[in-house]
Amino acid sequence: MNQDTDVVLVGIAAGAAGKAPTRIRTLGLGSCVAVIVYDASIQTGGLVHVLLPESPTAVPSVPTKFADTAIPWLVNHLLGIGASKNSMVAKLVGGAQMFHSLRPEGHAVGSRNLEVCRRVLEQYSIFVVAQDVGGNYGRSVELETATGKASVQTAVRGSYVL
Amino acid sequence: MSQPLWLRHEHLDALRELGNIGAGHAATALSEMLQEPVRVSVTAAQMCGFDEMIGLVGGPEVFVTGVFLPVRGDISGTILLFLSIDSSKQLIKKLLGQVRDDLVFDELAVSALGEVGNILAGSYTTVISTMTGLHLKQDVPGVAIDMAGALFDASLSVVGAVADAAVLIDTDLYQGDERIRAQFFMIPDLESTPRLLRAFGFSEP
Repeated sequence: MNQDTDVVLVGIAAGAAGKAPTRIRTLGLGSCVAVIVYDASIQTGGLVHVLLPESPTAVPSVPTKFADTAIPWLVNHLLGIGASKNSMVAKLVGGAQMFHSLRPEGHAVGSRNLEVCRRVLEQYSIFVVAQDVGGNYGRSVELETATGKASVQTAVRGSYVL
Repeated sequence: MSQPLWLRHEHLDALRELGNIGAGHAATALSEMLQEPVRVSVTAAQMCGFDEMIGLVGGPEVFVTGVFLPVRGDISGTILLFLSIDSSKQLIKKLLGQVRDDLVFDELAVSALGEVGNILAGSYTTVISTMTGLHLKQDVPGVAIDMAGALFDASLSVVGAVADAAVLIDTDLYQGDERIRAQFFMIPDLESTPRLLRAFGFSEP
């Protein structure tokens, strides 16, 4: 992770988009999902760190918090900086179940997040070309907009590139 | 994230009071569990925004033990306890008389840490009940050892509609010269925060 000047850090329930050579990172995903959308034709991409599956209101104050409002936010943002919908692809990272002894509703958050992310991406006809999801461990991920590669780091399962 | 607008000095005093009395209870309970004297001191009792919480633990990628304790009853929310890996190992050594050097804690160790979390958090919820008359019940603890950010977001997403701030009670446990740092974050549900303040005798925020 050199050249830190080009790295944009995205917090929980936040999002960012940019062009090459920007890199966009988010740290410590548990049941949250990082949705990466990328347009290779213009080396432009973005990432949202989604906390919950569905927004309780149509226009939430923080659209990047919920899967069903964060993905439209990201797609529109990318369209605004020159990406085109037909060449967008998606990658999903996260959606783990961190604590084993939670009640059923607690268990479901990670997989509910993933489910809604996939559904919304499908509505936009954006293919999920790679994913590293589920399990019971945390992940950090960095999108390299120059290549579209997503590097995943974990504390217990090593690192790899999607 | 800035301090919540409703927070005033008397609120902080009440939190500190809660922290100190709770620490007293926790010391007694832990001394019994470990069969040796334990001192507990509160180094900070404050409100903090979610953005600050992770920084206070050491950053989103720091490897820690997290004990997740759902609280239900008249008010509901989550207590999240963070212990450093060193502190976790010290506790396990005391409780089980052994510890492995690698980072993979076995089932027994994990359940022992959950029990410590249960006892410590129970001390605080008991004090809240005594001080306020609110009825509180703790659910079974969940324990995980991983990146702090991952433990934190998993806890947040279970609470769902949460206030934007949490109560931090930062405690040091001493057994002889050994110091174990335990950081408690109490994350009330959105509707529970005003109820909690009212129960402490404060007017509406």
